[in-house]
Amino acid sequence: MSSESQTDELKSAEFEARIVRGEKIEPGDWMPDEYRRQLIRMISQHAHSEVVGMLPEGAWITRAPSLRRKMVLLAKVQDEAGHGQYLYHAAETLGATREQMLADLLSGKAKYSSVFNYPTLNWADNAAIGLLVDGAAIKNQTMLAHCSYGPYSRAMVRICIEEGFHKKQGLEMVIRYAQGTPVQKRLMQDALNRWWWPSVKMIGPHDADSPNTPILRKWGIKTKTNDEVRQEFINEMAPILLELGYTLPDPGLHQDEEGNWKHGPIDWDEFWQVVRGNGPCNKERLATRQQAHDDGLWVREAVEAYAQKYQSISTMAA
Amino acid sequence: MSDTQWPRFEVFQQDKPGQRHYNVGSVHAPDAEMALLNARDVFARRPRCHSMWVVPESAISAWTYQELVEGVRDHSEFAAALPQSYAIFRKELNTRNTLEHVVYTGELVATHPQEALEKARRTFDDDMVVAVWWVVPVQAITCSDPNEVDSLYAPALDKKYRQPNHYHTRTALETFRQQTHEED
Repeated sequence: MSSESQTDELKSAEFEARIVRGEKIEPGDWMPDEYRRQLIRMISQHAHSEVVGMLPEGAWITRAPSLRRKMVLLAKVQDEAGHGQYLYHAAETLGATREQMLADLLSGKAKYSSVFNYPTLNWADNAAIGLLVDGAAIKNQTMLAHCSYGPYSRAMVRICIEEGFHKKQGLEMVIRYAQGTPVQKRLMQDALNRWWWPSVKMIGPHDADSPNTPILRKWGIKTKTNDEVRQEFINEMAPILLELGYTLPDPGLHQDEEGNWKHGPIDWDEFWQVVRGNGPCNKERLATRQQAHDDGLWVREAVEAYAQKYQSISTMAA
Repeated sequence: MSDTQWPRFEVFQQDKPGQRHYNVGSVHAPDAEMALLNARDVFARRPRCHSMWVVPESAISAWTYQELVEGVRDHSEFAAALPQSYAIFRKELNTRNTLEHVVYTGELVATHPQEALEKARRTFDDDMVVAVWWVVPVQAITCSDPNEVDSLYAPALDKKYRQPNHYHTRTALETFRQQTHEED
């Protein structure tokens, strides 16, 4: 064995001891290459999801039914943009570059959450997204706030605090619809029917089909498995929605002896189809991002020209 | 050129007058002025910001606890220069509090960042086990204008709908239950 690999083994042992002690790993600290690689993969996907996640709801800002709803939706979509920035920052502390991450998103090489590849057909869809999609995301993010990598963990804490209102404004609307006219109830039920399964699936494949989970848990990146997070999510959502008089599109849904709400079989083929780019809106989402990138070109050029002009003036003054 | 994301600026936020600035993340910008505007949009959407600082990433000298223990860093890059003020930031090696940030600790005069670090370790000699030290020339810090506190940060104050407690969902659920019982 070379002395180099012996040193790596020592470093690796000390790294794992730090994780066990609950210390946060910070930029500049030694970390296994695979720890860095897994984090960049997860954090950049997460950042892309926030950015693409603006699109399904963003399409409804101009069609909000009241000024209050418009301000709330605008604030929520602004938050998603900000959260994308927090996360790109966290990935950059690991050596990823902003340019490469954005290029990978636009070229279709990078993944983002499958849930944003479904259309928003009615205003009630925004209620379903707030409650279910943000509800599922918050469960996952609360878990990741305990992550061993300092910058990711701090970004998650901030995001969780801010997203509290995203879920609540959704729940508020879901309750209002339940008190509404039969037509309004039908609209909400239709949205729930379409968003339930994508939300249950977005938490990720079953533990048996998540090959990364054991190492991610060992390194304190994930502190719960996908199935554990999914169970928490369904336990929270199913009773509220059923009490409000809605149904859920899962004939197998039932409560077991321990009080857990168990879901029926999940159609994973459909999930993987969407992940691989064949969902209802994959192409539209990327085209919209590309359009936004192209339309922003003149702004980037103007800001840069201003900075150069200002720099040359201050150089002349000096 | 216009497809680059520009240099990174680390952003420090002060929640209230008198409190310490702490690192919240970074933004990309072509200059410090734009960095402050971006920082305001990204980090001050909620009412808890009184002042912001931005620092180009290239101006920060950073050491982690682990690097200091191992003494691995080559410091030959620090040539002697004229004495100047350095701002010292640090983060506690804390295993309980996930909210621990890199926080402004104070200022001192040194001829190069390495010397500033050594002075800082003697000057700020409390019980804190430091996980991360950042040393920044004070002249590299750009502050938001104190005269613009209101126009920059006050608009967040009246956006109550950004707070979860603006939505009385518990009461709404309770009302729904009562209505349902009355109908039965």
